Amino acid sequence: MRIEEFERLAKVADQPLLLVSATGAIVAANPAAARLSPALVAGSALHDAIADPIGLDEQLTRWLKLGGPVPAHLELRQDGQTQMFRARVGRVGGVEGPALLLSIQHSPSDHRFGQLTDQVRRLQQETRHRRAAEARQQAALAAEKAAREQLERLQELTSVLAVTPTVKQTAQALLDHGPSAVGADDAVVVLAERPDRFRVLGPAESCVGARPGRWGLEDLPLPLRAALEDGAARYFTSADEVRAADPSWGAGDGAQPGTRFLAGLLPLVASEEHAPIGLLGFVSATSGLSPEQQVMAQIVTAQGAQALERARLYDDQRRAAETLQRALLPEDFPHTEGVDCAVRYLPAAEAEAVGGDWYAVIDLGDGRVGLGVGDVAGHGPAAATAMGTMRSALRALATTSDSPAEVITALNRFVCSQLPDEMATCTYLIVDVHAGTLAYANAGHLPPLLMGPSQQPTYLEEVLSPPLGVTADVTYQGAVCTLPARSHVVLYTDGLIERRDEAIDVGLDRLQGAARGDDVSPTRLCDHLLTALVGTDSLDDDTALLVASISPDRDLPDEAASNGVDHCSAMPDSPKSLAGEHRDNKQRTRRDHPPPVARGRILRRRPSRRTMAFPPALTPHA
Amino acid sequence: MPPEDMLHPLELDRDVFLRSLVRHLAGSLEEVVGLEEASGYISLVGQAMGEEILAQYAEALDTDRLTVEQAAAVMVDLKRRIGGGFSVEQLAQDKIVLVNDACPFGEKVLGRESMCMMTSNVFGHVAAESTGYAKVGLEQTIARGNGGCRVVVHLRDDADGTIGGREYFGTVTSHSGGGAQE
Repeated sequence: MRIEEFERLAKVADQPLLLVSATGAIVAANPAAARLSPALVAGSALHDAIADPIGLDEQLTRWLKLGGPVPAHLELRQDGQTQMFRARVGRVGGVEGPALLLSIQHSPSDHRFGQLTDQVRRLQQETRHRRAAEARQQAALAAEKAAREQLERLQELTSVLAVTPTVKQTAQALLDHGPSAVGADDAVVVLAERPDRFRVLGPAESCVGARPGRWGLEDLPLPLRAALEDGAARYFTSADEVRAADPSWGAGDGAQPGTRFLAGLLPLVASEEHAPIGLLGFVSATSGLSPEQQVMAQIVTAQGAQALERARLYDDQRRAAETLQRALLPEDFPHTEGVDCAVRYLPAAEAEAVGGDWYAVIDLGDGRVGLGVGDVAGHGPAAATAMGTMRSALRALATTSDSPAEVITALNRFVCSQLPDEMATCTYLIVDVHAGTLAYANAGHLPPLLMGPSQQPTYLEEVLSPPLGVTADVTYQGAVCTLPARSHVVLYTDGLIERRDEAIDVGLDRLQGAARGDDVSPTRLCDHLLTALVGTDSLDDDTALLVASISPDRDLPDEAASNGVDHCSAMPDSPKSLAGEHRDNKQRTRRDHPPPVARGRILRRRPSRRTMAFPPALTPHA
Repeated sequence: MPPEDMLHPLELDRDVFLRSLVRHLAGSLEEVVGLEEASGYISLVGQAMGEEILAQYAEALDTDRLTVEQAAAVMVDLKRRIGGGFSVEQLAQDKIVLVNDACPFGEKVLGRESMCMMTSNVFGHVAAESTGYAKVGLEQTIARGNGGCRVVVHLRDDADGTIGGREYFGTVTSHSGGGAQE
């Protein structure tokens, strides 16, 4: 076929037509071919237009052996991609030897196979895109879930750290909740007890190469010492890397063989101006901490450091309050013939609850002894100091009057004038061994319990008065009852009977029920009551317990010996429920709102007891 | 299980199965892409098979290029080996005429003319590689319903292209003329 002949015929054809030599040179091409691909023009090589130039030579050889047209496929390069086209190839004679006439389909979609192929390809592509999108969505959801869970674990740690008061509890919270917040497997805490002395805590102690217990700074493994000195975090990616950090570490140090190793060691820095207060180590069983885990570890460590510092201050405050209180509350008493006393003081479990309870035993001479128990509102060192002042004032005032009511009245005026910001409850009794009487007054305190021989214990609640420090214009009243031999008087503070979410009457009944034993010593009675009422529970509040026992061999008047504790009389006013009043007093005290001096109605503690109107003006005990 | 003697009469063996497979492949191809296009595809298959068969005969005959006589003998032999009944009716330097009374594909070839491209291509390839050019004309075919086949293999190109048939060219082409259309 002559080129001119081809060009004349092919020019009007819509289908791309090529005349190709045996070597693949494009001898002639019509405009439709050029429109399909710029490479399909006369003078170009077909090899340059297709995706598989090497395979084309073999194809050309085969096509040239066949005289008749045969179907073929050409994979053309277009815009950086390849596209398969169907074609028909036939051998034709040329001027310079045999040639091939190629007729190319415009588009693969022109053919049913091509359409199907395109549809399949599009479907596959769609499927791939959809799967990729689903995979991305799943990955995003998984990442979001993981982040949310980690945040929840961090919040849990934060919540726990907010309520752990002591250093020991805070360290344990870090050990319990720190690993899950970071995504580590375990943790270890190194705490500075003194600048040169450290305590290693946690189930993964071996991962820091330091056995449990106390260590001097110089004795700590090198990485720990270095982290404490320079305050910089250290991260490790394998057990070998951990061991390499300190040549002195043996095979069992720095990592537990085969599995767990120290992946992160972070200084607990509470203040930029001060040295680290310890170290927090995170242990991994698989790999080192990822960058995200390292950030989380830093957050946990920062929170832990603040919590530990707060707990350290808390512990210091608690120790100070306890020391002060114990210094102010001696356990030795002056001895009064015929009266034996014993006392117990238990500090509250929480540091801020320590400080306000007190007791006093005062020898008034001539067979008389003054017994006082009180509770200053508030806690801590300030309350302990106020307690000490109040107790000293009582001891001084006790020598000025034989009437407990007068002493309490004077004490109230003292509190109002000298301790104007304080409020307190107090009960004060005078035991007269020779007269066989017990006189008492009560400033809003829980009623003393009188245990007569072989009789039901009875609360001394014949008189009612408001707490100390409410107002100076109050005259307290008192009451007197007979006191048989072998009887016990129990004075106490609210820590002994009060429990959270429990009415105070329940605690009073519990004390009344536990008060047994005619001939026991006051010491044994104290221990018995504490065992029965407190046991091994941690106390919400301080507890002071004072027991005064009347000796069985003392010389009592006949009348007192025969009448017992039933012979009790108020002087001069009527009784009221001291328990209910005490509860109200405590509530008022806690709200820091001074109560009215006179009230209309008093809460009943039990139906059998009388309800009375509070007297409009309290008169002094004559 | 049905008794063996009931299954024995079935005409089904490996050969029958393969022939049936080829027939259905060709039939499906014709239905999908048409007879002309299907013939083109089967031509490509025939070309590949011709190359393969010729290589075996060339090796057996220890020659690079067959003579016309050898080419005719090869055509008859290979067809007989696969169940055909071909024989040489006329042998000359410019033409080989073969006749056949049994198609290797058996009765299954009936109505499947594209399968005749297998014969055309194999004969054309053998002849073209021998003489450099061949034009194979299928004058009668069992597939078209004739009683037998009559195949004429022209070994010389007719300049005016009046002879019908499909052209084939050898690797070492002594002929540079244009291909005629059937």
